[in-house]
Amino acid sequence: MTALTELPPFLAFVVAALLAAVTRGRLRGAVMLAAPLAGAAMLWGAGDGIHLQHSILSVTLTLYEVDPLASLFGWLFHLGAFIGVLYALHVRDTTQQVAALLYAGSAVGAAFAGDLVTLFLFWEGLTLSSVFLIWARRTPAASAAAMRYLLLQVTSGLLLLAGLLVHLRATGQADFRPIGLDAPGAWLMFVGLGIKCGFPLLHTWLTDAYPEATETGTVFLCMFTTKVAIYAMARTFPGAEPLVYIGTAMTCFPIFFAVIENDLRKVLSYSMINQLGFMVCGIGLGGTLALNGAVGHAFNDVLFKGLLFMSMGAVLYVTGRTRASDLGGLYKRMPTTAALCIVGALTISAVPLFSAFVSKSMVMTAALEQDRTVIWLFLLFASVGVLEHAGIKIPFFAFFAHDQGLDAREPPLNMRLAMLIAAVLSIAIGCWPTLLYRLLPYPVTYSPYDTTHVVAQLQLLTFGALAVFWMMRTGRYPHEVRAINLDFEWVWRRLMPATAVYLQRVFGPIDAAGRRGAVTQARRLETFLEKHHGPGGTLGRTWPTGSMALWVAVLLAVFTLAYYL
Amino acid sequence: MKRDGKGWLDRPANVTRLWRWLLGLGAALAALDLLALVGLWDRHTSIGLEELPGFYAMWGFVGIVVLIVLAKALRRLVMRRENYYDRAD
Repeated sequence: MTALTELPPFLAFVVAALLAAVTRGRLRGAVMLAAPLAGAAMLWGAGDGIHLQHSILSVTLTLYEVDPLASLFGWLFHLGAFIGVLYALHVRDTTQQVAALLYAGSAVGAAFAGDLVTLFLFWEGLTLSSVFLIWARRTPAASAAAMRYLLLQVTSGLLLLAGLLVHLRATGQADFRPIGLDAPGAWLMFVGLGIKCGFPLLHTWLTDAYPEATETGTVFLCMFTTKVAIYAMARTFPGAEPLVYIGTAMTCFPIFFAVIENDLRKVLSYSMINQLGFMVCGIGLGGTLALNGAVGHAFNDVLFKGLLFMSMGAVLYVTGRTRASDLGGLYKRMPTTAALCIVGALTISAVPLFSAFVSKSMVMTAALEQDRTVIWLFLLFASVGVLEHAGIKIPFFAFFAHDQGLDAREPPLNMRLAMLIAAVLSIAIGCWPTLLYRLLPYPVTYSPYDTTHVVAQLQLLTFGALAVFWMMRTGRYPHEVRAINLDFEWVWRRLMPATAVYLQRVFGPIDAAGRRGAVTQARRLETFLEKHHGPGGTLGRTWPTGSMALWVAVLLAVFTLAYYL
Repeated sequence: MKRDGKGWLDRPANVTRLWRWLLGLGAALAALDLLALVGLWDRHTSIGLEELPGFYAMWGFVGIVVLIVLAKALRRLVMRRENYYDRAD
């Protein structure tokens, strides 16, 4: 077994991806399910420390290094991959299946990267494999969204690369450990990681592309890219002050868009940025409680956000629709899916006895302990916002609201099983937080189950729910409209092209006149040169040799005369 | 649950029933703050704001109302028809 534990677990996914490409049917399904299990088996015996290093040129790549933080995310990505593969077991699409395995493998590889160069390699692996899950929808809208997704993701990778090169040159090392914003190249890396964390204004790749991917693809997407980014941020910039404000902004701005968004998978994408905000804020707060909370919340988020995306994926798979305005009344025909979706909704709302209550409370309590009352109030506001859009809106408009009489049935068994696993784990972690605590990187002394805290949370949520219910009953709640809402991507989808067209219109004539003038001048010069240097020109004429000899004789005579004088 | 036809929630009387249950739950939870106010329950709070009777209930209710009112205003600013981006993208 010693040999097995020396091999990095991402290899299991790469090998499985190669095998999946050449097998089909049930055999491919078995290979895909085996990948996370084999990876987990390799991880099982591996203790802390460096297991695999390789030198290329002058750079030492640490391909496999284990410590408690890496282990947490390593196990999480294996768990997520297993749930995702199970959910997508009915899919018969080589592109998607191979891409999904390579994508999960890249996430696992990044978790155990021991240096920034290795991280960068897997970072790019995430980008290149995940984009196929969007392309695989095979619609023009998905292709366009995938290109925009790719642009921002590649920018993220370039910034990370530029930052790490500056850092490597200045300090001579590229360890994947706390760097601090004052270090050379740190800001480049910070923004590079920030893009994949979904920083405000840089978040549009997420809300743009996730709703366009395939129903199973989005489940994989929601589990890996952003969580790797949170992990990398927690490793390199813990306690960085800007993260507190960026994270708080991330919790607050998406909830407004989520209220008015019609596409339920896009609602979940905004909701995702909101949840990432709690993690980013926790990383910024620093300290063992907040960091435990941030990474613990990332762990729980893979399960409950995965569950919500799976339930909406199931609705899309069965009905072909995800718009709130086109759905409703499905609870009668899809009771199991509805029940599992409600578990996800209760979890994300941080209802006591569900997992998010445990991890989000850590971040909130840390904010209070650091006397950041204003930040805490914003986080509390964002928590109620989650209840509105993810806790109530998602299940309500999909499964209840007005019955559209859609012909629907429960999704395939594998989809229901995958959702069931995520739901059971969300409840289990909520009821027995020690299950999660044992995986957290720092010792935990915090317990969320204090009567005061539980009652406060229940008051917050019950009165939030009352407000939603009241506004719905009195017609104050915004109606679902078949429309889209402009977000920051409008800048490069409309403003920048429009600016280019405008500049063309204004400067086009000037440019054309300038060119015309230049051409006229050039023609004139050409005519002038033609006149004097052309075949008939004074200077271009060929002279007879005799006249040359004559002129030389004249010159000689003048010279001789001048000498004697 | 019947596969088709009327479900439990399709009857307005049941929705009203649900609304009353939720109101009752809210009232019961809010009443707990009064227990603390008269000193029957010793709460573990970190800041003074939390001691304010009904603080969490207020924050929850007002938070949602503010959120929805602002979101409706945002809709006027950013809502476009579905094919807005379709031409020459």
